[in-house]
Amino acid sequence: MVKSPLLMADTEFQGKHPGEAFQFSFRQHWIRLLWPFTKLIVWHLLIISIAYVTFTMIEIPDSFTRRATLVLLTVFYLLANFEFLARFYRHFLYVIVITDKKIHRIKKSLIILDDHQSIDLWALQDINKYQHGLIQNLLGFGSIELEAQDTLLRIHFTPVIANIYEKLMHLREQARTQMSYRGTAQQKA
Amino acid sequence: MDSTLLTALASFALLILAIEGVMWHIFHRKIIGMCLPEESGPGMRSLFTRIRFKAFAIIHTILLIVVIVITYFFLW
Repeated sequence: MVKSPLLMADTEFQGKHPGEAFQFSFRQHWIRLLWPFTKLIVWHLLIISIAYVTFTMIEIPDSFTRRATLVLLTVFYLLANFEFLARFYRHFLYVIVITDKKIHRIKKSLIILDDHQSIDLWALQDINKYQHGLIQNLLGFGSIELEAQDTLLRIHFTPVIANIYEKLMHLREQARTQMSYRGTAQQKA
Repeated sequence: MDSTLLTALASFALLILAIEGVMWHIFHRKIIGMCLPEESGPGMRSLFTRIRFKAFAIIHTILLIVVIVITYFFLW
């Protein structure tokens, strides 16, 4: 069974064909946010250290210089925070939606990116799963590679990868069965 | 209270509100149709639903302003 963090969420999504039935959706593993978060912490520590040295140890006598330094540090503090916030929002603007017929990859950023790539489940030749290293195996995430005739779709940082892989294999077989059933019915007609 | 301090605080508060507002507006417009669970829907147990995202944006904005206000009162 596929469990959290897959969301049985809003079953209507952009680019959905009327005949498609929503199965599940997922976002990248939370570890993707670890580096931006670490960077934010490092920036905070750096700004606090500079402020401590400037205002406690050096004690600038000129009030204009002291205030200018404070404003400059505030600007860096805000830049670090907004950079993290943009990265955080972008994490949620990347979603993989699986229906009974297709796999949709919807990838957006706040301003410059708006991608939608979809691939037919029945047309998939290979579904490969990669989990390299200790962290990927411990936390259960990795990459899934979907290979059709002319298309290769790589989904990195896939959470609960073993379950998703299993579910995809099952849905592909279902889609192929449906396709062959339709083909036979058309031939008979 | 020093008028320069008030000007600096008001300017930063407005800047933060504007940037947070614009970022939230763009995010909210783009997240529609991207399988984000509703508060009352089947995905409500997820950490981030639509309402929780909004709450996060508001708390983040308040936090930034409060940190700047406290720091400026001590160091200005």
